[in-house]
Amino acid sequence: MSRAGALFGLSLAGLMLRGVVAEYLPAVLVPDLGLVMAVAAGLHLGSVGAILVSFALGLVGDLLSGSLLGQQALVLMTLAGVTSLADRQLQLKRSLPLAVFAAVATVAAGALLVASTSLYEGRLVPDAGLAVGLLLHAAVNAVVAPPLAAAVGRVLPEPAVRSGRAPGFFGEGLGR
Amino acid sequence: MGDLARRLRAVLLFAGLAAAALVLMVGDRRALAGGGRDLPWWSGLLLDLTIPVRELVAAPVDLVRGAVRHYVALLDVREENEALRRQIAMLQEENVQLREALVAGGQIRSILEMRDQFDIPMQPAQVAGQDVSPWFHSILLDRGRHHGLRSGMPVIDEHGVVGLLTATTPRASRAMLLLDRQSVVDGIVQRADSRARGFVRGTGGPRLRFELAIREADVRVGDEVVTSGLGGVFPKGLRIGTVVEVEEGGASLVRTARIEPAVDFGRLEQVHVMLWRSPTLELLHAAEEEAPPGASPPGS
Repeated sequence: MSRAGALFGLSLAGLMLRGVVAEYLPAVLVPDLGLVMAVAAGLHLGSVGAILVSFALGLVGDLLSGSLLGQQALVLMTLAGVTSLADRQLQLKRSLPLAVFAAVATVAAGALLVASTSLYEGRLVPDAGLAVGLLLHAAVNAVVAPPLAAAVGRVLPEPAVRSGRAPGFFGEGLGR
Repeated sequence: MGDLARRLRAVLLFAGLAAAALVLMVGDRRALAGGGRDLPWWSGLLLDLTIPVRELVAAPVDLVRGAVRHYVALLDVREENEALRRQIAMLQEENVQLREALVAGGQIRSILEMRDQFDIPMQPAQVAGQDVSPWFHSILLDRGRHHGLRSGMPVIDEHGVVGLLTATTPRASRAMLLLDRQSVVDGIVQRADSRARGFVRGTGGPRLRFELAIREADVRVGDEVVTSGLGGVFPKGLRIGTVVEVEEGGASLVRTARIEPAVDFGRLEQVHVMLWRSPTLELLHAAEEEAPPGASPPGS
């Protein structure tokens, strides 16, 4: 199984688990595993692999959620791409930068999703409840992102370390 | 050179997928405006798979919760209590509908129509999962097309309107809750000397926003708001909620009120899907089914 496939499988299970846990806890207190896994994909897969996996993950999220088909896919894919680009500059494999990055990404992704939905409805009504929810959710994701990304890194070791071969056609993340 | 090629490949892939996502979004938005759609097999399969996975994951939690409820609260008393509660809720709902009919016209014909409306067959369904995103409000149901469910059918529970079916598969379906930002229902104040009409919109929060059609409309805290039947999706007289706050709006053209939903969305376990679609939606879906692939639905 390829590393991208494995990460997709893990993320899929995480998404379903999130849907169950959300029945017992307020939604903003349940970590957004789709978002965290998209960040992890950006860190541990190549940019092409990360984009593909996060797009597929977003599509699954769209199916299991009230968002429009493609809405979360677009947001998660963008996030994975940005993570992949910003990894070296921001040292995102370290816990603190990653936590801050996850928090900022949560606020940006949440605001983008809500704004795009509101625009479709022809109205954009920001409210205090939404802002508080975004901040709470950002804090939860900031706590969860570093250990989860580290766990993904351990489960999916870098291909060069594992096989000693150079990246294949799909870059660092796909194909093996 | 290799690095450049890899970056170019990533950029091209991103652009292609972004374009695909935008096309999907526009298509889905159009389908949602027409009351939702039946999902194709490939995406429906995932939704169908979610139900047993969810049951597997939630089984231990449900077991403990069930044990506490059944044995601590005494099984027989609880069941009897539940049956009585269901009966009361049904009578309350019937009462609301009859009051609505009497207020609206005071004619026997209206009452008979309302009784016919109340006779709409319903399909009970268990809530199989909540939305996986905190920014949207929808639920997964363990009943689908094989049980007679179709997109655009209203979902209610014993307290009032829950939402609307927006996607169905053979064995599962997804319903958008009233709370969702995309949800709009045409509502009317039930009080006889008001009958103020307006749009009830989801805000993403626990309360709904009632946008009154007329600025001078008479709305007070405590007023019951029910579906008006004019939106072409919900039948008339279903309870939406109670007005808890009226905003004067100052210089704004629109006057609004806040509504506390009749349904407790945090405790949804079982809902009923009304096996009914408005004539408008029926026409729309019939036209879609007859149209050749790629043709635009009417009114879009």
